[in-house]
Amino acid sequence: MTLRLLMALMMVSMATPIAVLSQVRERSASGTLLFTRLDRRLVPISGTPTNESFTGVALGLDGSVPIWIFELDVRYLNGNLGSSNPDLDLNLVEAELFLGLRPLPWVVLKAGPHARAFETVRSTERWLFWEIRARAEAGLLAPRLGTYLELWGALVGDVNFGRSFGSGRGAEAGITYQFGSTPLWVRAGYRVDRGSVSGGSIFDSVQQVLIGVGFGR
Amino acid sequence: MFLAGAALGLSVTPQTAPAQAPQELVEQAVRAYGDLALDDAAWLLRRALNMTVPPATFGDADRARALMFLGATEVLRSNADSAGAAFRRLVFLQPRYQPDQLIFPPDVTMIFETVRQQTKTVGVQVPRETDLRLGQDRFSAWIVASSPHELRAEITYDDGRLARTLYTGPIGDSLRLLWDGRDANGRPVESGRFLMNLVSRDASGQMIRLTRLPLDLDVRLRDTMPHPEPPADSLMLPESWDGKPSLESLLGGLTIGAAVLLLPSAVAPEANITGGRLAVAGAVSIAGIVGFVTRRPGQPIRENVLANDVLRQAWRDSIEVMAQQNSQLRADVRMRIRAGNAVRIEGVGQ
Repeated sequence: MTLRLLMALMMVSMATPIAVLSQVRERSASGTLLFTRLDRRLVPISGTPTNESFTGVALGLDGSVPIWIFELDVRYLNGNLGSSNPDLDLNLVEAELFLGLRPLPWVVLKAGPHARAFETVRSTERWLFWEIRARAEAGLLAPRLGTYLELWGALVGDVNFGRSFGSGRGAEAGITYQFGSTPLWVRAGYRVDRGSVSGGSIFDSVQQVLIGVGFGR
Repeated sequence: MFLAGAALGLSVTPQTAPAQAPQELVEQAVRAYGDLALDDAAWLLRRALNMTVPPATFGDADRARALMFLGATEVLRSNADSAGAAFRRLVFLQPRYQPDQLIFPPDVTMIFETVRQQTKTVGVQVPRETDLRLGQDRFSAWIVASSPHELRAEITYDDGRLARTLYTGPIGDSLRLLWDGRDANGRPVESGRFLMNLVSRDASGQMIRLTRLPLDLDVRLRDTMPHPEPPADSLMLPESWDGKPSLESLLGGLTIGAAVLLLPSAVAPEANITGGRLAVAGAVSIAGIVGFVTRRPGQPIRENVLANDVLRQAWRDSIEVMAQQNSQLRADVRMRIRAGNAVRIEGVGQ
């Protein structure tokens, strides 16, 4: 499934004419406040599965830069997540780097790495996802009010805590509003991202409600 | 026989070279006048005056001098009528001519002055070619009178119709006439031949003499610019919605709203789904519904209306600017006036 998706992405990239150059957006940058919830489900080989939940607020920065016919998207966020047991509090760090292509004015296809780390006082748990993403944008009250939906899946990945990477997938949807003819815009969205190790013994699900302010088009 | 004839000829007329210039004849006549060889002087002067030569060779000043000496010669020869005729010709030629009191005796100058007072005429001095801009420059003519009298100055078309009366009243020594290139109604005249008529009149208003100066006018109008075309339809944005965008808004909003609600369950079924997504799903759905309502068919698209208004206003502004420029171009009328040679027509008065 993921192989076919990758091949489709490559074919679209190769078939996309130079005309898409005109569809590359201008550079943009934004700062985002992310109300984050991490749900971790541990399924032991024998015994009862346990669930841990962490909540907190993270601060994210992201930007997009046009490079020839591509869009280079970067994202970074950092925040503390707490739980009912203060000893288990952790620091969430995420970074993404994606190269995107816009075959249609309202569609962006991206591919790139997505790294996530959960830092505790005792250890750091790292996840690395190589993902492909598809993002669709539409105007609700064009041209100011728009909406978007982004879906992604990890083709391969890696973890650093002695298990094999299992799977990764996620989605984000939201709404954007541009202030008149200014380059200033705001965004509200919801994002859910899940990673699991091989065998299904650990599931980390990160949900985020995000509110951001951006500059650019 | 031949010699006898030649000798007889020499005794009757002064000896002249076959191709002698009129100025040389005048100089010979002046010497003859000084020697009181009055017959010779009169003959030489008449011969010089009757020669047809270019003005550059024998100009008005030379001709006036010859006429003055001819009149003086005839006075001394007691030919009053011939003297009067010569002086009248001189007055017509140069109305303001003043004989040299050191050369001519008082009785000659007195007779000349009497003839001048009796000969009511004007001379006109104009540049051969005048370029003027309507409303800024004027055609100027300097009128000099032989003696005070009544004058009527007018511009007529070539067919005699009156175009503009420039002056009616007495003229003493001289008068400057100005013409702005317009007719009696204030309209610029068109290209063509016009006549400047200077009518010298007696006290009863009868025309004594008409001095007519032909004027050839070349009126040049500036080309005006065409008004700009209205904005092309292809540049105008639709000012009201049709049905498609409203459905797109509704479906888009509801689809994304539903996705926000349902995707967490599909992506992360084991997670405890937060309520925060409800706010996002609600906001997207409501925006879609609002878009559906506000983008109903026939509803105005405010941004497009404003954008089109800007285009239309820019077009109207450009028309206004062009109209002002055209108004300036139309007002910028240029004329070239070429003056011909004045002719004199005798009237019935005096």
